[in-house]
Amino acid sequence: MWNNKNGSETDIVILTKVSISRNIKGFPFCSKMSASDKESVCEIVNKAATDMNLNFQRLDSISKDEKDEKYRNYMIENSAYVDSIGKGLILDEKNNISIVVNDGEHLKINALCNGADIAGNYSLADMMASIFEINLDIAYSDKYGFLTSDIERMGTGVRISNLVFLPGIEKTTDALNTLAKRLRKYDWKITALKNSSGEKIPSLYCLYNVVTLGITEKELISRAAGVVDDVVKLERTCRKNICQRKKKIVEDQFYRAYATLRYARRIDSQEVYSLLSWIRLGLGNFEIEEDIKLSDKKINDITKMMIRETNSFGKSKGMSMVTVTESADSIRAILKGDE
Amino acid sequence: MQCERCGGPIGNRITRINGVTICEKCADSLGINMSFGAGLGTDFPLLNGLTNAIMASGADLDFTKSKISCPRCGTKQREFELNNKVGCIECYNFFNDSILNNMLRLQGSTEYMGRKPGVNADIMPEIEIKEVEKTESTEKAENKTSEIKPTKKVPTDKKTLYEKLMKADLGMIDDKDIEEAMKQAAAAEDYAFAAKLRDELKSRKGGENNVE
Repeated sequence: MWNNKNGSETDIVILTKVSISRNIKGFPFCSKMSASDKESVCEIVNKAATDMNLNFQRLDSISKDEKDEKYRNYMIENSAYVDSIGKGLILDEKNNISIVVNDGEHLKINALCNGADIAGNYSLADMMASIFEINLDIAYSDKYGFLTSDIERMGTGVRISNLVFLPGIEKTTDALNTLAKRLRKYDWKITALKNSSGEKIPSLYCLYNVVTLGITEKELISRAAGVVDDVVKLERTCRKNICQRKKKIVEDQFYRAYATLRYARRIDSQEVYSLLSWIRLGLGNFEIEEDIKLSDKKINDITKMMIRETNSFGKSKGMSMVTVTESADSIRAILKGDE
Repeated sequence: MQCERCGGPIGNRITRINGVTICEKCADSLGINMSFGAGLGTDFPLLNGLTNAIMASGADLDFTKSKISCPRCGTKQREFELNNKVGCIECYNFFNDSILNNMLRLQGSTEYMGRKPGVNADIMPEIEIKEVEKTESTEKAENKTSEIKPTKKVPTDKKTLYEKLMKADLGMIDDKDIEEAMKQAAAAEDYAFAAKLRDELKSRKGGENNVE
């Protein structure tokens, strides 16, 4: 399971995801596919997967609980969860790589890990992609590279994204602008995460590459590493600066936030995020009392859980909403840990 | 806050009329929205009406060539321009110009530099790769010379000359040596290198002529 893989910089980078898009020749892209096209693509991919000793599952034939679990483990996205007809999922033996079939593109090969490990993740996904390229007739042109339905991904078809926690930058005047400007030099983008009702989630941002043309994979990986380095450096400086200048305030907010998360019986997701950002800001920048056992992993686990469990798309679409009581319970369970 | 007329949520602009709070849409439909010309006073009622009318019917206005569509999957130019998404491989031929324009605008490049299908991308640090390339090229050179050896029987000192020239700066070498190396390169079927040497010779002779 990818959840056990740990990269570096876990105090800032929560997740790294490398997604490679590929399409099969002879079929229209997903937006224009008929039901029979989807069936044939599923069949072809199923056959290729069996040849590769991988297990192909139809998303429309698995139970809702299984689907929930896959969604919570970041293996499928909202679109595949809501409308899973004619869509499939392939997982490798260790559940490190998930390949989603017919969701947006014919094949989306995703490799995930905790923290930052871009090169490792990329080579995993790339290896899988190249095996599929040998076994399937993949849409490719010398001029455009790999053809995708989303022309922003045409070329290498690679999207590298990092989920990052930036309370220090967010609470420092103009730091976010400085960062965005800096990222533009890398041809990278930063966007704030939003919840299902369109509100901005405090301190959580997503970094991802814009370019897929005019760049080699090697260059892309080195740029991605550069981006993460820059973000980490800036965020650490901001955190340290705030903690030095306003030590008492941060300390106070830190303990209050911890107490609320540790003992609350009902808690709203937006509140969780803003409490987490105080904890994140303070943790590691001053000595905390011994009986508080906090780790990057615990904080990241809560964040990951909250994003998937409450940032859902409403009851009407079939995803079971987690109530305020349930999320408070699971947060308490994570924080309690082996205390 | 809710609109007291339609009950919907109120967005960025709040309009109050006769003590009733209404939303932007309702204000538009009642004709009391001062969105255009609000800063100018209401000296342009006609212009106001006109712009509001255009904004209201904006969904129907079509500035793109909506009739143009991909012959294979039926994706319309308008759809493509709105979502940046295409429907099939044929679209790439059909909307070629638009795609190239878009890519230039979005990414600043239209040239593909990634890997070929079925090959793992090389993401190792540069220093190691250079070493690998060097060993490969020298191996190739060795293979070629060893193949030639029995058939052509090239004297050993000349062979080393050809190999030397492969790596050396041509500007530093005599015309005679280059001529010999050129013959050897041709014999070794390394025509690209032979052509390079020929060009070097030509340029030298041409230069001399000019001086004279």
